Amino acid sequence: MAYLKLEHVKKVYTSQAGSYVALDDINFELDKGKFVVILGPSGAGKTTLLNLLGGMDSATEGEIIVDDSDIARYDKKKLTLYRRKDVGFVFQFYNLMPNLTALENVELATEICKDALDPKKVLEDVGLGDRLKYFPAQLSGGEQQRVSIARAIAKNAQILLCDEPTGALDYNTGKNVLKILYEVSKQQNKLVIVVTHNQALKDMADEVISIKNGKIESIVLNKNPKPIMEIEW
Amino acid sequence: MVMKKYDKTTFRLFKSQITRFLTLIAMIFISVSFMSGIGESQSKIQSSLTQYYQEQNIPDFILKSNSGNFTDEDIENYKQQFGEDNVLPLFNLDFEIGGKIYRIYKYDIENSQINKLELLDGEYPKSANEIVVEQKKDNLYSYEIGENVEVDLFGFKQNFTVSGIVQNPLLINKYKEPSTNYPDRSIDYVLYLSDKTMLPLPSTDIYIKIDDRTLFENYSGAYKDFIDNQVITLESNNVTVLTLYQNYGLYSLNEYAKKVGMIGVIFSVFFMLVTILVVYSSMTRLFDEERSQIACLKTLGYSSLRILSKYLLFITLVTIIGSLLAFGVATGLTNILYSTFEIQFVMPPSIETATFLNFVMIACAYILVDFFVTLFTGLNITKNKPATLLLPKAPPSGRRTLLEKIPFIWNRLSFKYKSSFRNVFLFRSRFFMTLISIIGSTILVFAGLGLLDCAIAQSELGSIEYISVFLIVFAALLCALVIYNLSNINISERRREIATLMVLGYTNREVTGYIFREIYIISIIAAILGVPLGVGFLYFLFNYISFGALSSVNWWSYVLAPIATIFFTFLSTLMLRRKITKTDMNASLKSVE
Repeated sequence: MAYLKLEHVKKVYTSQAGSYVALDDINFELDKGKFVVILGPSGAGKTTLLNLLGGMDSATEGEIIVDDSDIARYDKKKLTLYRRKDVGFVFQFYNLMPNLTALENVELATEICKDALDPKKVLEDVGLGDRLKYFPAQLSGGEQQRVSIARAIAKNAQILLCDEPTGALDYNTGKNVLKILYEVSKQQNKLVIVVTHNQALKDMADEVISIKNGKIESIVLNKNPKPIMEIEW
Repeated sequence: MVMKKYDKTTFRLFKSQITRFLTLIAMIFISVSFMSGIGESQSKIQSSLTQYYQEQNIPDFILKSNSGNFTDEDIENYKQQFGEDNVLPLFNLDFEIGGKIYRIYKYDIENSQINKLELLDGEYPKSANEIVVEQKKDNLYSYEIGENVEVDLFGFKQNFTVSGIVQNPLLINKYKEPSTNYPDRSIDYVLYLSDKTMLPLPSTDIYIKIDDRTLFENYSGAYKDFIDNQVITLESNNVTVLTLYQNYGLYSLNEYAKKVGMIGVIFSVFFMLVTILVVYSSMTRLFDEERSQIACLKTLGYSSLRILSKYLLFITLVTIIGSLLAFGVATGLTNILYSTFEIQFVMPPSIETATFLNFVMIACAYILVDFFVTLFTGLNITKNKPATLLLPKAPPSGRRTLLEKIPFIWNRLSFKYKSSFRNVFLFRSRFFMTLISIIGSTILVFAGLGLLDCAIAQSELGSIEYISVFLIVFAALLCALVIYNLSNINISERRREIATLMVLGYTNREVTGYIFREIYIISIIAAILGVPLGVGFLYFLFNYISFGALSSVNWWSYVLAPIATIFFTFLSTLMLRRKITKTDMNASLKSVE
């Protein structure tokens, strides 16, 4: 059985203005060790999907099975625990605490996890061994994003959700960050999901899920993903 | 059309800042109520006193003959000097009869235009054997109407019937009326014989009023100078001169009113400082939040003043609404304080034509100060080039605190505490702003408690006791609002951090703990510092109003004030908990504004 499985997932937002179907009949299965890209133009429902996968919001209908549990049925408390244990989150704008050093920012996540990895070791792994005591403002954008990745990895969660992780970075730095994420999926056998509108990324993914107008447009399996350094945008 | 859309942003500003709007209104309301309420009490008491002086024609001089008798010739001389209608010869002496001190007056009590008595009950004497008596007070006995009183004066015994009860404007203190010829004793009964009485009593005293009844003006400086000069000419071997400065009741009432006013002024300055500080930090932080919108309007070519106009409207409305709401409470407070003086004094009828000058002045002062504080903080933002404003405000670089140099302690702290400590010191101006505001309100609460202790210790001053109680209530409310307002701002500024923590899987308790820890650290520091600073403040206050002493302050006041501050912090955080827990996690996904 796949590690992550979505079945007939639907999300409807209702407000005074009326109801709006953000996602409709979403079905897919993903396994650990995969690098997956969820692709779509803005407004397609990417963020909604990310919110559902990350346990930040609940689906209106359907099932979201993670490791044999349906998180779509979780209440707020259980969802908090899910976010704590099972998902690592990489933000477009890093979201580091400005008043904590790189190391402390990673500790921020590991202090509340049981099976966390050694924060120092993880930072060394992403190439920041000499930046442990730097504050975010003293780091470049790429370095900050690597701290953010280290924070997600160090939790030892099985799923890494990345929201436009290269969105705020320059071309080369962006590539480096993607390389790290790719290696995490392969070397640590994690499920890495990158949400982006950047078409170029689809060549490097094991699997590309394209969504449009709240529906799945296509799911493409890449037998031979291109090495990151070869793709261009 | 452009104007209309701009007005829409103004409307949205009020809508989105409704909590800030309301808490600031509440703070202005409390400060203005207290300030004008107390200030107006002093004015009201003194104006009423002045009116009473004029209406009752209270004499400015009481001449006492040392030989016990003014001759007709003496009286004629005074009449020549001050005018026929300004001189009243009378008999007035204190006697000890059966262990009690009786003060006995005899003059034309019904028709005299000088020192008019107020007839409270019954009627003035119709016959030679009727008298009126002074009404009963805390320390003064009296008789019922119709009761018989036997008076023995210089061997003349006579029986009188009480026909009426009066109030003498010279005897308004309820606790004490010192006897003139029995030192250290207070008089027990006051009897007024009419001039129909046959007893041949000499003119022991002469009441003199000065022509210019406006000079008095609640013991004005000009009045004092005038009186002092006259006393020198009037005093002689045979004549002792008493002035209204020696009248126990009137003078002490005026002094207490002044004391109340002084307490009001000192505390008002403090209230105002705290309030302005909070307005300043609220507006500074509001401008930070609205930075991108201001930038946007600037790029569109709006002038700085046009952009700031809605914030100026915001703060002016806050101040006007707060002040208008304060008006009712201030008036109520004035009336209550006025009536608390009735514990100790027979209060003159209160003047109806109050000017509300205090209120108008204080409200205007707040409107102006708030307006300019907002204008200057706003100009500080709008003076930047739009390009600068469009960039998010550079996040402050993390800084190491002094505590980190002590690894023994620092390494033992969990990152949560590390972060809180760093944050507290990272945003130094914000930290000091918050700290000073909370210290200020802690001092106010402490001073209120201290003043209450002394007032209670000196039970004579009932009115100061009441003022202290009001002070404590208002200071406590202000303290709670300061903390609530600053915590509220803190939360809206840190929505992104809160959302990030929630995405990282922090529980509600952990997130609220993370945010509130800082507020608690500041409150605890403020509460601790507030006590010694409050002691200094009280020392100054006691000296200034020459009332009270630090030794009379109970130990629990030292404990209660900081506890109150911490309690209000707890209450504020309790009320603001929901605001944190319902934060939208999507805030973490958006770009920095």
